Amino acid sequence: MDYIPHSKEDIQYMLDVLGLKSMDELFVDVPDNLKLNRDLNIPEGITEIELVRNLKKIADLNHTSDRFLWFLGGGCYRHFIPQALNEVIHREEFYTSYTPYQAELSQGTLQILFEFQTLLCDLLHMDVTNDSMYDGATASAEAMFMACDITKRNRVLVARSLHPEYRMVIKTYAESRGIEIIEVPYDKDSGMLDIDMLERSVQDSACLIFQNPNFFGIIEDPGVFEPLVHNSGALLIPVIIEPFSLALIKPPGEYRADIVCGELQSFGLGMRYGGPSAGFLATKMDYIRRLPGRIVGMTNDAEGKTAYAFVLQTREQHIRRASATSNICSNEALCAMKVAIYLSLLGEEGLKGVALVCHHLANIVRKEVGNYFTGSHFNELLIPLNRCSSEVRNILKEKGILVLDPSRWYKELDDAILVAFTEMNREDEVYRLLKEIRQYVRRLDI
Amino acid sequence: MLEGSIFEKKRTRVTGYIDVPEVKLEIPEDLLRESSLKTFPSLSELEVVRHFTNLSRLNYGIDNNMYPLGSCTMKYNPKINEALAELDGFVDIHPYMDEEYTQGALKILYELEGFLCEITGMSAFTLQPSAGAHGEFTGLLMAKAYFKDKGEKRDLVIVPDSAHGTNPASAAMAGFKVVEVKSDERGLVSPSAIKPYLNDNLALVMLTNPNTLGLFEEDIGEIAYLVHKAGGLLYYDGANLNGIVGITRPGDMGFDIVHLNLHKTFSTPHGGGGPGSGPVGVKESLVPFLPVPRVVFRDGFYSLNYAFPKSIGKVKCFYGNFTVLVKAYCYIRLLGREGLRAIAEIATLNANYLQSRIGEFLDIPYKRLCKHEFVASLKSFRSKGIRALDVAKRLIDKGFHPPTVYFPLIVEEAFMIEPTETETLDTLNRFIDALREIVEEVNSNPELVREAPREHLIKRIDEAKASRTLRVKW
Repeated sequence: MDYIPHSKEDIQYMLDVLGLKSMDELFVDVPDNLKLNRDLNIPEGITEIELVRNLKKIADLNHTSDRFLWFLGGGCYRHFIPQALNEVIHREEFYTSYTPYQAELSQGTLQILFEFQTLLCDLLHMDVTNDSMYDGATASAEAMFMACDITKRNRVLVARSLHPEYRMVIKTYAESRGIEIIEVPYDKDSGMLDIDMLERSVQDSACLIFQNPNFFGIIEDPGVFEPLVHNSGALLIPVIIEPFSLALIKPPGEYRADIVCGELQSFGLGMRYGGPSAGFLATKMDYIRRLPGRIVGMTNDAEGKTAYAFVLQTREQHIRRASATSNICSNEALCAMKVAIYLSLLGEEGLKGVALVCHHLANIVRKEVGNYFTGSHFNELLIPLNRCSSEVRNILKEKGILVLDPSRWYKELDDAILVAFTEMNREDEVYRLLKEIRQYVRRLDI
Repeated sequence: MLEGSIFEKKRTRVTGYIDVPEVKLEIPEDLLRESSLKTFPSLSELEVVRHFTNLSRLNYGIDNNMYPLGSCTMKYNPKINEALAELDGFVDIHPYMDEEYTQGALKILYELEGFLCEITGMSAFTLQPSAGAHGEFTGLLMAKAYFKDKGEKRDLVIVPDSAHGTNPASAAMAGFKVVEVKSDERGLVSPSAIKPYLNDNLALVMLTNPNTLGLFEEDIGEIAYLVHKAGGLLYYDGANLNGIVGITRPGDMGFDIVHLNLHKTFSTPHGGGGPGSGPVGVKESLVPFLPVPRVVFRDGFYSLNYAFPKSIGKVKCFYGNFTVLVKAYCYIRLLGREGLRAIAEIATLNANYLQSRIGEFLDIPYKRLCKHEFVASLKSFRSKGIRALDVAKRLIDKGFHPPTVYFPLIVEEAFMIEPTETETLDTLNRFIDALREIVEEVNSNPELVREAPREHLIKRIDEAKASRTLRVKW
């Protein structure tokens, strides 16, 4: 089936207006030797009834989270989504509209993005944020470009404890400009950034990019290394992948971060096999003109009514072309709008409440079986094992318990499993995990 | 009625979604948050729902009326695709689950890749990029890796002056030097324009076909021959595929790298600016450089394969904007081969009909058979003190979303109009009438146009002030 509304008579009338005899004459400008002149080799169209039947079958081949005891994290978290969010975001005025270049027709989108910017800046304790990047990984890569442009330096420090896929994306982007990447290891005991190694490599670097809490769930202490980074003229760039953590731990603005990037998947966007979600990029007011992507500002209309519009579009590709701060055009606007609605539904109380529950469940695990590292945690941690990671992961999988094997990315971490906790987990599920895993645990710091 | 800011609303009792137990923090005090979240609202669910519902009424979507934005392909977004992409089986799955638990997701990725290969005439696709510009960047990085692998140093990218802004921006971001070449008097890229650059420094020529004037680049066969002979690659910006899908394929035209905008031709909605999806297709010689992982199908089992040593790596975390890809998959299944070709036919018919009728009262500088869109110039209104922007704003008073204005840059006071295939003849006629009325107003009462929108709830917005004062949060 298709969605073309034209009757045969309409088509004939329009061809007559154009003085054409057939539809084929609409394509006489396409050279004959380039014409396909056959049907595309894809299936014939189907009806909506058939499509629903078909897609439900395909969806059923996937195993949803409710079929497991679920402790998967690693940069994608299963959080609760209030139905009110799904309902509001599916208003056609939001999802079928275009980028709000025509501000008078787009005050809904623009005001929500402004509210998004406000809420996110407050959460991060930063001056300005854009209206989203593709995801946390590309946001980190763009933060690296920003830092190199600002400092005019061409080597960047990246923490080994940053999400492995983020490091892969940063590497891909860095190669395009010949940026040199230096990996900063983590401390083998605490799991936190190795400050001695940082000190040795920080000279002449554009920035330090580190995740907080890091990939192992460990909360960093940026207050300790911030002076080191800034004294060498480099920029401090924390990557926030579980933003619920900021309800409890120090936000980047409180430890003098220059650029902050990360991922907002936790805020009502769902897992979706990894996307779409929304990355973000925030900075200090000094650097607003270096910030890629769209930014909304407050202004007024001809009658003086408060109104919103994009600002500083001269940074962007549609005006500046080859000299733009970035090539980004489409972003993840609808996801950013979802985040604004989600945070509004939760409020400060709700945000803190969810963060506390996540933290509480992780506390139970740490108390019972310890943490691989001595650093403190938020909602994710490594459980130390007396056997190899993949073996224990598989044993748990047989019992319907899903956890991550960190040795998939970190060869040296072959005696631990990575577990994450959210408000979707019940306490009894956590105790079930503990019961199943107890015999494989190597007790460390308890 | 306008809707006040959520930050001005009186605090009420918050709807609590979860029960919070007594929790002892296991975090050292000096790592704890000090500042309060002073802007966070404290509202009941109804208050929040009302706020955002009221805001939605200040927006304009395709379901409201025609959206003739050139190069944006604002067509109807079938409702069923939205619903199916939200099935638990697609939303409630984690990217690091074992492949045996995600066979459905992998099947969609695998089959969609196959469909896109056939539609474009390419050998393989990556579905990882999140948007058209992201796809461009990915494609350019693959070209870079390809030349490096061949031991060639080529750093020049040619784009025509009619190109989308993302083309030069992406090329610069990927570390190439960009040269802009002029379109000829037909509005096309002529082979002679690129001839001066056909040497061993030429990396790529980036073209959009049909181009941003809506015209088919008729010399594409010769251009492809020349570029390849010089050892360069030809890059296809797929933003304008809507006018030729099923008729001709970029792969057959000689393009080596293709990106598509699934939120355009394949109707996964624009979402007010995203999420989109920008898959990139390549010919056989570039396949080794595609991002990882790639989905493979062996012995009835789909899996993710990372073992491609020449790959450029990853351009995004995980595997792409998955639920957007589900919508594109649904769209292609619904329409099928005959429905896809009908898109190009009717989109082209609608655009030519509009061009012909609007050409009766507006100047169309490159007037010839167009494809999905065409460009008018409102330069003659300048003597009345009227700009293209004013006419655009007056269209809002008449109930229409304006076309793309001031693009492409090669047409003064450009009005770039793309109707798509889902608009009826009657709607096109109403749009023509509205535009004709405005042209009459320009002559009889230009104030009406200069001060537009006048009848809309929100009057002309002072955008310059927004950039001057830079108030970017509450």
